[in-house]
Amino acid sequence: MRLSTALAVLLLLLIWPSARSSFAQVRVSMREGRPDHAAAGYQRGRLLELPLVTRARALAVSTAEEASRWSDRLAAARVLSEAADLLWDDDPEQCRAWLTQAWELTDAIAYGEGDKGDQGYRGNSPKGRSRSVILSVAQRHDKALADFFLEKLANEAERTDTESRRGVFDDRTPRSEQLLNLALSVVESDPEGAASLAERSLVDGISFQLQRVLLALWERDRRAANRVLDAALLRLAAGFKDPSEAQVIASYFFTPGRVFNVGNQNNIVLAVSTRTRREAQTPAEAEPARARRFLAIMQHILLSLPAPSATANPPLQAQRIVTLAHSLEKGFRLYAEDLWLPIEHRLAMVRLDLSTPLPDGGLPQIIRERMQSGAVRDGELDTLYVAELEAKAEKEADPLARKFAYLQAALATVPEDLARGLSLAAKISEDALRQQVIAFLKYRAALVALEKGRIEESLALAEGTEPLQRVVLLITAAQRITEEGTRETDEQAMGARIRALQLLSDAEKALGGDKRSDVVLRLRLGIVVALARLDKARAINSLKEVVAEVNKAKSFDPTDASPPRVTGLYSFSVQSSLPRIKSGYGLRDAFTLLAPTEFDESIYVADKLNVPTTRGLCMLEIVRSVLADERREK
Amino acid sequence: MKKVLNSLFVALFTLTAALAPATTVDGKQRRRQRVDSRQSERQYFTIPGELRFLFRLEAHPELDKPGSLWECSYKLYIEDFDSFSQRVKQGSGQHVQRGSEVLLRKGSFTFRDLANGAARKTVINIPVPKGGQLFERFSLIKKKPQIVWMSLTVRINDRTSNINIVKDDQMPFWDLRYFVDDPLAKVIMGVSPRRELRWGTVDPPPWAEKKRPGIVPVEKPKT
Repeated sequence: MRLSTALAVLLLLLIWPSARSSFAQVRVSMREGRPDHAAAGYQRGRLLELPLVTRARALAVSTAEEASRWSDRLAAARVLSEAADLLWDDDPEQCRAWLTQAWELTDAIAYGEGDKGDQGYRGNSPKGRSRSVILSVAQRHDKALADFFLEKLANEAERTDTESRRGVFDDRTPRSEQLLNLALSVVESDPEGAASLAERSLVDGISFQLQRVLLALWERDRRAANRVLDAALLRLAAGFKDPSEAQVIASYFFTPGRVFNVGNQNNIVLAVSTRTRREAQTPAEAEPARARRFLAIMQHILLSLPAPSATANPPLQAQRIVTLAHSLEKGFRLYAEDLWLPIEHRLAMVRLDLSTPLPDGGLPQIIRERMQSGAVRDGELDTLYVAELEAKAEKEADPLARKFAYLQAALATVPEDLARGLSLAAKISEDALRQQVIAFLKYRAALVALEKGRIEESLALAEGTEPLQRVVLLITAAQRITEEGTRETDEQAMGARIRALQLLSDAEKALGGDKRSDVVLRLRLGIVVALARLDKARAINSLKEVVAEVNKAKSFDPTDASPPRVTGLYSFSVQSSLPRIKSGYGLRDAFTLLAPTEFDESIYVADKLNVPTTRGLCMLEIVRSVLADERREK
Repeated sequence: MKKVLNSLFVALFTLTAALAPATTVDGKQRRRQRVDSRQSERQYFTIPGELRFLFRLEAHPELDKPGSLWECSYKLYIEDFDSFSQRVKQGSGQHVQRGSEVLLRKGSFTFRDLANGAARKTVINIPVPKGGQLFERFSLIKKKPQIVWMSLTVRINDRTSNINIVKDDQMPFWDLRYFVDDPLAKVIMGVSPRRELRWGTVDPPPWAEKKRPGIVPVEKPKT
């Protein structure tokens, strides 16, 4: 069976380059009602007779081969590793070669190249991301190969240590970063394997991501979590290098998901994980003996750290010691109070070396007092904060300053309290700005309603938003309606379908003939994705138009699947206050939905993309979708 | 090249024009203050006749269109270094002013038509009259170091695309000794490619050198 598949693939490889385009032409001529001369051709006829899955695999092979010639090394590495993942069972040797080639391609990329991470906090280098993909494919199919890559990283780590570890929350080395990424990717399916990977990362020290792995293990397998933790404590006692290592363990024990550190400006920075679930007990509460052991190690470390004046940067060293001690203070009071006093004496001396920190935005006095008192109800701080801002605005005599103050107060309201936001926005003196803020507040509330499944409420709010905001809401609502799964009755299903089509029709009307901007292009993709579940022929036609526009666009990110930014307001944390929509507006989303039933048309459309990397990524998405569909059917 | 030279010339001319009155009109007053300060306080520096602040918005190809505007609301304070430092350590920022700060100037400005380079900068002057509070703080600067700081909210509006870039809670600050030799204190603003407003107190601005804004380094006063 495998031999016959291989032969079929070989045959396809021979005929594919010419067949692919002509094959697409065949489909077009069929759609347009012209005589189908090409389909009569022998080779093409044979091609059409082959099973869909075989053709999809042949497409993956040709795409991977094309990718190896691309100048965009990151895209090539990504396609090669994805193709290897898809075809591993068919031809492991070839896939191993592709993975190795992908790894070599990433070798030539510098760590900082294209890094869009938070400057100074945590790097997010495309090189690191590419390698994570390659390593996870290797780990899944060939652990020896994954080890080989990790060994290469170990050698590289020595060379790139200072160059790449610039962020406050970066992992210790590229190797530890990849090991912990791998651990996170397998923690659900294989906690023991994840624990082993995390333990291996300790060779380079205790990295920031270790707390994420520990917390994931804590949820899944506490025995494995304790094993890694014990190894980390041994490492801390034997080879402490940096206060940030202790902050990672302190975070795990006492403040899960929140890690303190000292920033590059001697300021205190805090990383908060939005993915950490609140457990009933913290690890320290569940394991007080381990917490005490950690604190005993930390007391020894804090008392033996070199005096700030003996280091190259005394204020920085002083800030690190003080911040670390403060992170541990509550832990000491609860689990090892007898060990705290000597640390307090040390702190009194170290504080003399602290520099003046940079100013921060800060909180109003009333809120700080309330927080210190500990008597705070849910949402009370938000209410107090907005009231404080409103009072400040009312006192302001300068018209411009007053306008800014009301703007800030309106945007500081929570999405759920739309009425409060609108009442503050109504006090903004400038018409255009006031209208924009009101529209934004309604848009934000509508997105929150959509996220919670309250589609009709969201659509009602959409009427008060700006035109492009309304289009985003209409399209997302249509997508949500079609995603909601099988309806109880045929009538309900038909009703939902009609409703979704109406919404999309409204969205198209609102967009009109405007095809120019990147924003509109992304919105049209959203319409295609929604249509793909409702009317595949229409979706394919729209996709063709979108692809033509993509070809004309100055730049287009084929990996971005989020809706465009349509707020018009920048800063005041405007964008981050919106619920995140992570899919439904990407080119690959459209192919994912269309490929299983419209395979040939999808290839035809993808083949029209001018940029090779975009085309390749879409072709591979088509393959992935077909193979996934086949697995589901099995 | 020609454009660059032209813009340099315009910038030089504007700066010269802004500086000229300060060096001629206030010359006598400043000389008098120098003598006074040397005689009474034995200072080794000249107390300036005024504090001068330049606000400048850097050019941005997408926003520099007719109809666009740049608005700024500011408050300038002077405060004992110790008080400032203590307040900042407590994290109260600009919301609570309970230190020894004194409001020097409160104001705002709006400039339209950002396509015009001249409409992207302005200078504000705060006089230092002899015997006034500011003069006194200068006189005692060795005993009580002082900080001049600014609370700032900025908005840049592109009418064509209906885009508003707003930033508040900005807090540039200077050691008062920075003004001793009468330089311009600069607040330079720019818009990043991601449409984020950024600012700096040094020229070239910090984003050009990938640094964060902070206290301008002060050299030892001349003896």
